Amino acid sequence: MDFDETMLKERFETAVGGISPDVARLVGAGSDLGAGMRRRRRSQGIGAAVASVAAVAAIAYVGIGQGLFDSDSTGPADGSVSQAPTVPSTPRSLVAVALEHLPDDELVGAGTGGGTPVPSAVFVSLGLDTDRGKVQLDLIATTQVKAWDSQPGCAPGTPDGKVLDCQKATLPDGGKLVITVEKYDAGGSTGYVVYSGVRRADQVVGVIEHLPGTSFAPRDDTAPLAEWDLPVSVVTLRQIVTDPRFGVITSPEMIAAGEALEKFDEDGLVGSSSSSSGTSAESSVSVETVAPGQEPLPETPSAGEAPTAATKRPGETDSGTGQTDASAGP
Amino acid sequence: MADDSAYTKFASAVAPRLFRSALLMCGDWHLAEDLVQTTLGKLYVAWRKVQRADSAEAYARGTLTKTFLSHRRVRRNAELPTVDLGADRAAPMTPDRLELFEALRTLDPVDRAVVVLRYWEDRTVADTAGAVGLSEGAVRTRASRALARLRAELTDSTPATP
Repeated sequence: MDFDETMLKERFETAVGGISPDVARLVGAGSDLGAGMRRRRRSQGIGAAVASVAAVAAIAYVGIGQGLFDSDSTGPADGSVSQAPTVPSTPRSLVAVALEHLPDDELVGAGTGGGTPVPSAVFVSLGLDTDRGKVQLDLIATTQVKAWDSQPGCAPGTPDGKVLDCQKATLPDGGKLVITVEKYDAGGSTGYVVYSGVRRADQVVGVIEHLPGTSFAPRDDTAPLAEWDLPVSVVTLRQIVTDPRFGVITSPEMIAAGEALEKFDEDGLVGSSSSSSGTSAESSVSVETVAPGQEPLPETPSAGEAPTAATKRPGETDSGTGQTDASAGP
Repeated sequence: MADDSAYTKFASAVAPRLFRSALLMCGDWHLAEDLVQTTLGKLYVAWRKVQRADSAEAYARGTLTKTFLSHRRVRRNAELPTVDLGADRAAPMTPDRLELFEALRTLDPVDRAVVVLRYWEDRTVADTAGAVGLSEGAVRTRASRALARLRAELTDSTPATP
């Protein structure tokens, strides 16, 4: 009996033709996964916004006179830092640096989001359970400064977003600091996002604080940002982004501290850890879900590993990355 | 939202066929589920592009193939798991099915994808070449070689038909 294409097709049909998977479960899981991908993209888009507003700060120091930007409050947050940055950062080390400026018991979980590493950028998210509520922070460090320079500053990083406050300062080391708060209304979800970023000659670093309307409401969103009761204050955000170890390179001590983190999951915040109440970081601090069909934000660095000197602009993609696969299609 | 509804309807329609293709490619029920879920997630993200595609289903099948091949690249050391249809599932392991999956396991993952695309999904050589990132000539060669291998595997182990 010869075995030809027709017979193989019949064997295939016999083997799997009658199989019926649990379609509802597959579709539900797929939708959830897609929503998570969108959230990560959105976070990364916000990272681009951080970088873009930081870049514009290079134009001039615009001191508004708020406490946050008083001359004696700029510069590296911790003058006692003696661990010179010498080694490439990792997502874990970014978290370790951030935790040096945050209460120890606030970390719920951290993770890279499971994306494919992209050279020249490190990106990581962490969930916090603060005495002012639960919140998600996204941390980013990238060498892609030229790409950010081409973007407008103090512009909203989300579709239909509105920047409520945008503060700029020049740091003693020449870095350009920008902190903004943006109000967004996307897909029926509203809330605020606070950006804190520093643009230096060779890198851009940033922290994004997500404040969904379901868990945060400012007393007066027309007040200067420095007066907001944020889960993570603007002072702390500034301390993180001005820490010399918070960048594309860091100290060996921070690498070691990052490796020692227990509440870290390379697959992302989802299921990475649970708070004392048993709620996952994702559900505790989730940002809004962008519905299918909504135009995605520009591609930006995704979950990362040790950066290189390579420069990549937003919109460029790496072959084989999950995001490229997702958008390119067959 | 209308988009959610359209996506769900589409995903529900294509999921069974995607799953069967995934199962043939990987030979593992749970991994096939993962591949389909990942594929559906990617379709969710790219839904607007899916809607604009000439054939949304072809787009979905292509995304599944890329997901499978990407999975293979990322997890080389997790080479094909033992054939497992899961005792808790509605699809019992039959001798025919077991034999076919074991035969498919002898193929390189790319060859397996080529065979599934060509002989299960009835994709053209050109479509298959595009999906797996090979030239049309390479697809013909791989398909021929894989078919010969399967012929040997399946006819050697199958009792002669009376």
